[in-house]
Amino acid sequence: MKKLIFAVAAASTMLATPALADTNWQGKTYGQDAWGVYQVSSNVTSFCKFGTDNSGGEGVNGTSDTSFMGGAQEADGRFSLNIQNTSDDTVQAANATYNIAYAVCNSPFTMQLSSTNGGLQSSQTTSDGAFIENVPYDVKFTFDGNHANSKSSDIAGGFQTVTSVDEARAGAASVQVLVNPRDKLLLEGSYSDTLQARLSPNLGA
Amino acid sequence: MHWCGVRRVAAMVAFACVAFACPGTVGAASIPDNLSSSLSYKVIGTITPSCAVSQPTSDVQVVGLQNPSSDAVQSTDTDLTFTVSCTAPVKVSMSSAKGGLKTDGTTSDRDFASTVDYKATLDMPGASDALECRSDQMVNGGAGCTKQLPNPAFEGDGRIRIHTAAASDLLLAGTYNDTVTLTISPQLAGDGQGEGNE
Repeated sequence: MKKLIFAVAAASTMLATPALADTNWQGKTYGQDAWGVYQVSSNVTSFCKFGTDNSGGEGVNGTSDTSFMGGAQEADGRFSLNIQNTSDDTVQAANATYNIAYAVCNSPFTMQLSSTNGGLQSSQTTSDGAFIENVPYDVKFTFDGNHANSKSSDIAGGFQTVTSVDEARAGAASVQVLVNPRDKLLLEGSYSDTLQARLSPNLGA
Repeated sequence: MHWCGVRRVAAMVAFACVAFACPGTVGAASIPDNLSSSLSYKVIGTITPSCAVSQPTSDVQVVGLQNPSSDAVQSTDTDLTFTVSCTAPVKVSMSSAKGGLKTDGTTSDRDFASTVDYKATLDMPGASDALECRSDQMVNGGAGCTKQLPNPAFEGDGRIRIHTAAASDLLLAGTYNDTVTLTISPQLAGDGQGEGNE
């Protein structure tokens, strides 16, 4: 009999515990609940954008600025490189960097580059191999810690995907153009190219 | 031993004494004088108080979550409408499946928000701002977002207003979504009315 009494007392204690823990609702019961269930959603489209706070800078034998096409508003600009060694008239080292203060890709994306001429193309021609008609250059395209480096000859003829990034990123970007010295003579006139750097969202990613 | 001498035995035992001679009993068996020729029962029926909710749509779009200029979160208000009919005071709760508008997209870049918090405000007919909770309070089945309302009954249109505040966070491509559940429980019995978010 002592064991039975003890067991009943213990059971009473356990039953009482939940009620003590929730005294505000003690004694209330509820009937049939009414439910409303809502699926709430908002769609965000993929995009990559360059900001408008952009600027040129001064490098070695070269500068960059925003005085081209859409200018800073479109992250467009111009590189002016002095590639002629005035001592021997060969190609000398030159570089400059264009700074994009802010860019965003809100989905995985690729970093792409394109060069119209595959290098700095002279407006003149010659059959003499001592001269160089197309001066190749290197491109270093960076965006929020990601890098897309390429040679101008590798990005000729349309956009080439240099780097794929598997997540959204936001931050600063830059484009640097570097010409290396060469033992070639330069033709009179201008050497030019159109370089394009692009961030392209992976649609459906 | 005197079987019939026990007055509080059940009726069946008393009848047994009639059918069979009880040892030590002399003459005809006596019939209890408290027997009745009819029985009466008290029958109580309870009609359960109930609530009904109908909603015009269960799929609601949050329009303009992304600021077209900055691509960051902008302020929005989205109404989840319903019609309710309750015959008793109720306890209401709002729950969120994800604790905010959440996308499956991820990034290690903290400039982006994979979850957009919101504030949910419940308007019941005759009881504006009946309950207000942040989305992160509405997880776990709405246990942190519930309130007992003193109104004796409800009849009419109501809404849950979902408000997102402007923020500097960028939005990831894709769909931000959540499932919001409104539960209205009519009270059957109990004393007093609850206060605040329980």
